[in-house]
Amino acid sequence: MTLAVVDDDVDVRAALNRLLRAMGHHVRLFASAEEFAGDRRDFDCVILDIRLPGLNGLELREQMRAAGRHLPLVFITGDGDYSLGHDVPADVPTLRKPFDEDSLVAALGNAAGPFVQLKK
Amino acid sequence: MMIVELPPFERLGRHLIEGSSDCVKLVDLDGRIVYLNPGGVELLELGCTEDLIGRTWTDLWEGEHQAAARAAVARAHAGERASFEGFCRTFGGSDKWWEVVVTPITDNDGTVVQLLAVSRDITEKRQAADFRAGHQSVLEMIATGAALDVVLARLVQLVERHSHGMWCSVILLDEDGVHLRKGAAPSLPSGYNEAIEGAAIGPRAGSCGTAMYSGRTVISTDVLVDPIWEDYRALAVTYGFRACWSTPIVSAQKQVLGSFAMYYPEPRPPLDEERRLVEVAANIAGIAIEHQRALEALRRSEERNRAILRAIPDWMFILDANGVFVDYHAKDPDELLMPPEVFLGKTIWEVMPPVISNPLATAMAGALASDEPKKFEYSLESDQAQYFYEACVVRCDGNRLLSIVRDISDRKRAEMDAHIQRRDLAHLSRVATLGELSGAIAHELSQPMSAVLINAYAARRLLSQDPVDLVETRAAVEDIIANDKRAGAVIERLRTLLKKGQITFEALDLNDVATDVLELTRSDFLSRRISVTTSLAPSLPRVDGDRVQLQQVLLNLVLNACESMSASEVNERRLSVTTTADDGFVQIAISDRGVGLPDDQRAAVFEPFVTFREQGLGLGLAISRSIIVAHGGQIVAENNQERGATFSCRIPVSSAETRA
Repeated sequence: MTLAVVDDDVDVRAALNRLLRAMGHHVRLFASAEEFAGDRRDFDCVILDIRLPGLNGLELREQMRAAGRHLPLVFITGDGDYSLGHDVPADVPTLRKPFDEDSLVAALGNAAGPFVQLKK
Repeated sequence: MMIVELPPFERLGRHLIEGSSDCVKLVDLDGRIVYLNPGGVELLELGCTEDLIGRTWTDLWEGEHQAAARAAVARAHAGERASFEGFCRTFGGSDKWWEVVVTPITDNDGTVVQLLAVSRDITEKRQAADFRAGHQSVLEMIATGAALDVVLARLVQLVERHSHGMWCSVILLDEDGVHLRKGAAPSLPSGYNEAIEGAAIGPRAGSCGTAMYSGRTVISTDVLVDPIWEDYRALAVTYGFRACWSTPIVSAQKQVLGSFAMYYPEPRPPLDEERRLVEVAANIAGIAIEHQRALEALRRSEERNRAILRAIPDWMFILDANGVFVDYHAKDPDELLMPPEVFLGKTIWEVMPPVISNPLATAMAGALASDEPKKFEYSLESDQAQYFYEACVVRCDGNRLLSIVRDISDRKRAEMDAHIQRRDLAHLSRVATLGELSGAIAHELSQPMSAVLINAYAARRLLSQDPVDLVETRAAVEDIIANDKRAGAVIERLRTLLKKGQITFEALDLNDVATDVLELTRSDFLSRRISVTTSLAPSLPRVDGDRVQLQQVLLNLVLNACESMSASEVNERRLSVTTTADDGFVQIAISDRGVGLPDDQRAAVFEPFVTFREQGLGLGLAISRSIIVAHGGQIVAENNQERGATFSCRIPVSSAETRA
């Protein structure tokens, strides 16, 4: 799969890049929502941090939906169920940092499942 | 030249003898009186000469006076002229003193055949001398500090002995200047003395009360008639007084101290002698009373000084210019470093440890040179405890020095406690806001922990691949180490937050809170050489708040302000604290002249873990903001126009205050 990772923390970004590549995925890294929004390429799934400087993950999702850009999403967050004053949407797979490998694989499968299967 | 023809010698002698006002007697060799002149009859208050003729002369005397008379007679028998002074009562009952000369009368052969005894009445002379001696002895009693009532009683008795047929009294005027107080009247009936005790002086208050009131001698020749005795007439009748004169006793400053009075049982005017006597007696009484009052004042002053010394916990040492201990005062000498007998007479260098003797010598030299008190502090260890002392050395008594040593251990310990309290306060307040910050802290920890875990998974996958990408695996492990350390650093910063504290809201005066904080940081200002000005609004309305939390906010703001000025020129290190009240809010502003806030960080300074201080968790301002917000207020940071920054907190006035 080709995956986008949006996280402002350089260490988390680098670690996800390493793991996802070891899993065999193609990975593109973005430090902010604005940086990701500027990239028009298609992704099989976007791993999106909620707490971001500037535009946050929840706002980026709203913006993408408004623009008709329906990409599979997996939220990752260092906060609890309640983040930045909002409930984390129930229909988006959400991983609480630190998360384990199986959860990540499952979430990716869940979010991008139909597309991945179609491609196979 | 005119020649007077003298009568024959015998006739001349007879004339002299018969005309003499002295008492002249001829005594035969058996001691019997054979002749008495008319002067003698009069002086001895006899009916006629015959009453005495034939009696043994020496039998007229008694006791020691008789012995003197017999001795004189014996010497006259031996052919000598003998004289003595003696006391002998007259036949009329008058006490008389006599100067007696006994002369032998010889025949032509020189044989003693008779004695001539000439007695001169010296009673008045003796009385005057007696009065002088009495006067002298009263003055001596005063000088030797005899009790006033004893002195006055002696004075009264002296006057009474000197002037018969009357009684004397000394009455004192109370220091209130109005009421009579018992002085001395040993011969007056005690009932009378008690009746007039505490009476008020006035223009018609008997002789004494009127004399004290008017300041002049008052003479009542008949108390049954004199209008000033009206109120005391019944009393006078009861005790049998008819005449009375009284002279005020006046101090050197013309203040009336009391009165000296003479009472008589019959109506009569005073004799000149009696007027003189009462003046003299009043004079002596004045000396006695003034002396006693001066002694009393001195005694009270000494007692006061002793009381002051007793009350003063300080130790005092008198040293001479060579550093020798001369005297000391200590409420409890056991508390001294060593017993007085060890240091008295020794120099400071002989008995004091250098920690005391060195600064003491410097202070002594300074005090001697400048006349200014010189202070120094020192500390000593004993019983595993440390004691602190402050010594103040000042010149006294010329070249001597007074060293006042005060135990300031309690103050020093309080200062240390305040120091500890300041530390605890900061800690407590951080802890109190831990709950609010838990989200931020968790977020801060979750990042490195995620990175660790993800890298670990990545490394495990990389190791299972063939061939193993060792470069990538090593990079994953390096990142694990780095991120673990990063998490460890966050945990380290959180260690200080691992306690819980109580929060209590109460109505507070922010001026008090500010004063408390400035008090705590006073020594900090000193060491940082920061001058502080306060402009605290009078009668500031109170706010509802937690004292410790608000102290923490102010402490944090003050410490930030101090920190921001650490690189400033010393004369620029100025901090001001201002309180104002407006529109239902109380505002406190802390203004510094430091580096100010970077423009891009003005909003961020209140975020957790944002710090522009070298030390510190970066939580102070975040905690401060959360505290102020919890108090329903706001905290704002602004750069000053000229230099530095101002942090202002606005907190609503207490509801208790608005109700009032």
